[in-house]
Amino acid sequence: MDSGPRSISDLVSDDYAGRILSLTFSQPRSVQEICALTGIPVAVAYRRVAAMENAGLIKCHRTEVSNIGKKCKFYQCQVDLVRLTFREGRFEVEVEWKNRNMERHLPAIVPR
Amino acid sequence: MITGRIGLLCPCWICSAGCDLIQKSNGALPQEIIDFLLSPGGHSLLVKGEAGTGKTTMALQLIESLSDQQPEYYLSARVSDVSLYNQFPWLKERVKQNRLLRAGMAFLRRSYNKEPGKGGEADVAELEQIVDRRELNRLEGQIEAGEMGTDEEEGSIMHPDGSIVVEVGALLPELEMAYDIVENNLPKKTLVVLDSVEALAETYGIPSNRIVNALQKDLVEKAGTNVIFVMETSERSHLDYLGDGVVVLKNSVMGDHRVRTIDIDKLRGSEIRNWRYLFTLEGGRVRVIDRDQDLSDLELSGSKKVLPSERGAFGWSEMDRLFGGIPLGSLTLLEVGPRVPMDLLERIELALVAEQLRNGRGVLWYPQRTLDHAALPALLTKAGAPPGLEHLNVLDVSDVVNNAHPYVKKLEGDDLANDLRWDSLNFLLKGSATPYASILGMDALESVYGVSVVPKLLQHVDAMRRGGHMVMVGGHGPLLQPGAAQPSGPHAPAPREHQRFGGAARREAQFRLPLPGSGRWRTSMGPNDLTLSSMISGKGEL
Repeated sequence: MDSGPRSISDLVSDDYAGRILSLTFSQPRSVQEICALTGIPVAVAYRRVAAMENAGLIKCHRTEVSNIGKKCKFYQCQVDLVRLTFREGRFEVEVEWKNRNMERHLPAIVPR
Repeated sequence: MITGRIGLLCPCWICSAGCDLIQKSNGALPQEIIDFLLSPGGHSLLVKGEAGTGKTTMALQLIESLSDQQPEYYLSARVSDVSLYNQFPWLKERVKQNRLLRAGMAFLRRSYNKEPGKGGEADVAELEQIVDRRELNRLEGQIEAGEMGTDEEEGSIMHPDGSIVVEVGALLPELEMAYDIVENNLPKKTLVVLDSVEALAETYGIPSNRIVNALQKDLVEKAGTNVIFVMETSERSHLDYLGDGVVVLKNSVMGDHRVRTIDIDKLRGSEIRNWRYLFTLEGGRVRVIDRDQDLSDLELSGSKKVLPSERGAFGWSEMDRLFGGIPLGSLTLLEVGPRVPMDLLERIELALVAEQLRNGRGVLWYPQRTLDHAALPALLTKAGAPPGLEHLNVLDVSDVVNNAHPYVKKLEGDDLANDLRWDSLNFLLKGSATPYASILGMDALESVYGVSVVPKLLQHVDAMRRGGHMVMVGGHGPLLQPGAAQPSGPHAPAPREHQRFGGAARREAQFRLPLPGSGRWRTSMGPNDLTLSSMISGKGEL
């Protein structure tokens, strides 16, 4: 899981990822649902979801299988809060995870 | 002073759907494309063109043409176009039906998903996949794995118009719907139309070629389906190699007129009779001009336009509408390229003769082609002339002229100037209304009197002109001599060689006919050109 500060900050500042987090905050949703509700192109949505899952921002809640064997995953947002701050010359990312066991302050982001 | 319009006109005379050539050709689509889609096996056809060239209209007309034999699935990624529904009334209903079908199939899948085994094996068998979806599945797998899409991932956030149904497990619901419908219709061949590929690719966020590739392999090659891909560019691309057929719709401008063409670049396994068709979109329908049509029974509708007093009518409504008639008191040259059928020139002559006779005006006519004098009354009646040809004077040098046809006047055939002496001809025209028309076939004159007929014509032309009458000389061009004063203006054509008539000339119009092998349209006179030039008007000199 790449939950490094830079990847998280990149993702949450992305419009698509922001919408995905909002939609999955209160209930799990499939990628198809997300696309239908937001208009995000399906291939783009899958790339975002993959990146967000990798960063721990969302998590597969359940998988349903259709009668023709197709799997459909439903994702749910794993964060309550993401805060990006600039303090004393450095960016910091703070995440409040829904699962408190994951809560931690991430190292500061060093500008490129 | 020479007046008249100069410019390049519609190359097929056709500027309205009401034109006689349009009516005769019965419009519609190139037969090659219909035959291609009707031939055994599945075929893919790329319909390419810039915006507004008629791609969607053509695709919908193809659906109509094949509807008896091939059920269709029309997928449009655009917002509903009300004007399309007006032209294709069945479309709105069909779109609704497809939506219901999609919703029904989605419901069916959800029902089975929630309660597996519901309904038993028979119901499951209904959903059994017969069409191989290998490429589609591969595409979906790559999308699910996050391997598709560009790094930039730009694209408008389009909110669906309600036509996209969320189905569990359905990644690309529109494409899956196409597969389902194809399966449903088997063994009958389905016609699937994707309008447009780029719009669908943008909706999905995947490259267009992946959609084309998947459908080509799964539906066209394995399931024997016809698929039409509407593409929003006319540029060549690697997709041209994927498709079995490629047609390109183009707009170009000639003078003040728009010219629409369909270029058939490829039809794998099918014969292409004509690679280029002219067409019109007037009336909201694609209507092509058939190049090989037989003109022998072409009927030209009479003039309807009210012309200025200084112009006479051609007798063919389209010519009068385009050129505003023939200037009185002038010599008008009608030049045709070597590949223009004489049938057409003959029809123009007949139309002018009939127009004169309808108005009781005198006609002197030396036809471009030898006529059957006995058949002439019927021909003229067909062209709209009244019975009784007392104002007609067909000039003929042949010995078969006899009293059976009083409208045929014998000429000596030795000296054209003598044969066209004005005092003799004026006597023939006595009792006829003015302005008179003198219609002379240049090629026919040259064949009898030799190549130096022009100087011998000048006295006749001068006499007619001074009397405010019309003279039209038609034949294989060019008919103007080198060094003739060239017209000026933004649309002035390039100088030509081997011209026969000298003096100031102003080209009224030049246009090209949609004849086989016409190739590229050129600005100088070519084999398929027909040019109308007004030599002089008013009191000018030859």
